[in-house]
Amino acid sequence: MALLSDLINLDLSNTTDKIIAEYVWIGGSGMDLRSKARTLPGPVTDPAKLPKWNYDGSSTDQAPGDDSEVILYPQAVFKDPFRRGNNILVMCDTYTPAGDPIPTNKRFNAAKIFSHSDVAAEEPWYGIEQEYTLLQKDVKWPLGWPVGGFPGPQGPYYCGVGADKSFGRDIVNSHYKACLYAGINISGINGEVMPGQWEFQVGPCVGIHAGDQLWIARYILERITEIAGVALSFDPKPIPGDWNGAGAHTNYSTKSMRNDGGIHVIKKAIEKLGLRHKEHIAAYGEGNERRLTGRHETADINSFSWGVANRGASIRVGRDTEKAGKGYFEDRRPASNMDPYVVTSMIAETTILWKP
Amino acid sequence: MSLLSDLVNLNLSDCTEKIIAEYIWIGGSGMDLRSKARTVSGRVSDPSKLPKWNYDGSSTGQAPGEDSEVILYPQAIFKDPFRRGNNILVMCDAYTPAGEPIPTNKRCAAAKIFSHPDVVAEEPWYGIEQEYTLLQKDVKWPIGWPLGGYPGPQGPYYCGVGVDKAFGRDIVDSHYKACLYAGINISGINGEVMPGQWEFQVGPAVGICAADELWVARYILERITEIAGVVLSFDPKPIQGDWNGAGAHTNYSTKSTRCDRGYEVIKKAIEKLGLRHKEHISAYGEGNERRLTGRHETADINTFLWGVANRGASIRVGRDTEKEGKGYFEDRRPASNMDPYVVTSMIAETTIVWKP
Repeated sequence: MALLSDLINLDLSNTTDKIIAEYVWIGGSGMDLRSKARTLPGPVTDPAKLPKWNYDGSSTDQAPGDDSEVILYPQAVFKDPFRRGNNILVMCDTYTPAGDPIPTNKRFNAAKIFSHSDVAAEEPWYGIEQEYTLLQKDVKWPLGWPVGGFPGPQGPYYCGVGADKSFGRDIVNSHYKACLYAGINISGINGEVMPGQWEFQVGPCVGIHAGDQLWIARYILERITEIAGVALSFDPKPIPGDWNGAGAHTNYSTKSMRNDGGIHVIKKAIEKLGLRHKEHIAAYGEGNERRLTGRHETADINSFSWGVANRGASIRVGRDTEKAGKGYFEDRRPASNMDPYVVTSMIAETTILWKP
Repeated sequence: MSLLSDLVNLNLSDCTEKIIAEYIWIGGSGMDLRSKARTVSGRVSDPSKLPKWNYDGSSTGQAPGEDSEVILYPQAIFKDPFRRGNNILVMCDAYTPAGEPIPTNKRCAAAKIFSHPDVVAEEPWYGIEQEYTLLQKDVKWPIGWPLGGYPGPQGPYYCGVGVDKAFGRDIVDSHYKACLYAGINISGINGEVMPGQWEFQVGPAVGICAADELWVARYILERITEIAGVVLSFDPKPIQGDWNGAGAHTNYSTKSTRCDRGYEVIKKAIEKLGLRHKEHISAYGEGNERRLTGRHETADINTFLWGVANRGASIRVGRDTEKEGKGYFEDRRPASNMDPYVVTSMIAETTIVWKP
């Protein structure tokens, strides 16, 4: 394949000013990522300067066949780690031709919440820990697991090293560098408790950026697993039994929490979240009841609890935060298949705007 | 996979100041290495300038679930041979949030011994000969060995060459260069007596550095075997019968043994070690009784004896040292799965600090 990779890696900057922009959007299921590319006459870094576009919504379950155009509004630009050069990835959201957000567009509402003056004043920061599982392509069984059987029980795999403990590191490490290249604020990676499961963290990001960056990071990950010939799963409990699930723990702080006395603001915020537990859970990802059992480092889906350094609670406050009297807290309830636009804006809405 | 390796090998120094730091620590068994990575805003070469971090000790057998945070203190930095660029590996040790070393943290006590003024004055040097065995991934049988059978008896394999005598050289050679790249003082490699078994040596290194470097060398080796799809074993007697075990012979000298009349100091030191034979043996690695049988170039575990050029002794003094009247000696008792923090500091403590 030597010639094919020569062509894929062609550096076009010497021959043309044109660039390729890959427009990325979320499809009809709310979790399926879609993308297509177009040529632009020159380099662009400001999403407002990119043209709106459209796609066939009847092929993604987002529009009827006789009125199929869905409009793409560019919202965030990142460097393309696959095409490199001046080429870009563009995170978009989706509208009807009349200019209304289509039902699956969760970004629109999130952006409204984040531009509310009370929320903007609090400068909400998010750090999202995205867990995911890698599956063998044709059997949908986790990578590294024997087909027709199971690996040894959990214990050796968390942050593990070695051919019998770590499966798929090249995917994880290329994703890390690709995201840094793209301009995503990826803060770290680690191997997870269940073999074949991994985690990356995006943040701290302010407001709507957390959702944009996480979605593009997910897109880059799915492109990389495509190259590696491995299937990517965001299912919150991919294997039933004594195997950990996959979550998207969301770390959160506001200006008030980060300042002196913040610990009291944190406790008030956690209280409000407790009063809206059911509403949050309903928006925290499909299938979460298979994951939030009270075992495997989760809290039961029907209980709301919080604790310092307690990984079995709904909300965990770090020892650093407790000691410093200010900082952030971790909502451990969201599932790996949550929509970060929904989760981040809902946490901001409940803790800053909502009055019990 | 040429595209995946393009991404894994991306040189980020052109597009960001950020670097990736891989924090490494020892898990709950005392032999399992763990690591996870984080993004750091710029280049760092001084471990004291790196942030402390924490991990989920409940997943490594080092903390309970409801109080799971274990704190990582960076202790030594090496260049990352896998990510290259300005990226780094960071050897850490583990503490409770209150600042106490957790029970499996052997470095803390070793560092105390190495900062004792008498020990510092003697500038103890260590050269550790780390032996290890490579195993086929799914059957845990040494590489190059026929499944369900055995290779020809020992004889041709020690430092051997050829497809029927040397198994896994690419792993050994990439490890050698990777360690040199990382800044580890790796002094050599050789194929061992048992086929599929190899050795590398780290040293001479002073005091606590010997163990830091050996642990990171072990980590790099496990990352390389992971890439090669081969399982790494530090078991001291991987195959029963007429097959050599695997040790971690520890060569040792102090300022006094390296000076004129050092040979007298060496003899005194060996005497003291003989008086504490049982204590040392119990700290020299699990399962060592299967290896120290008195055969296969070992001394029986219950006997303490020393001799010049004697590989069947507990302690061997080289002919060079005898001839020059100064130099170093080799403690042949430690097993391949010994903890170098424990062994190096114990040898220093017994020979320099302890009074019979």
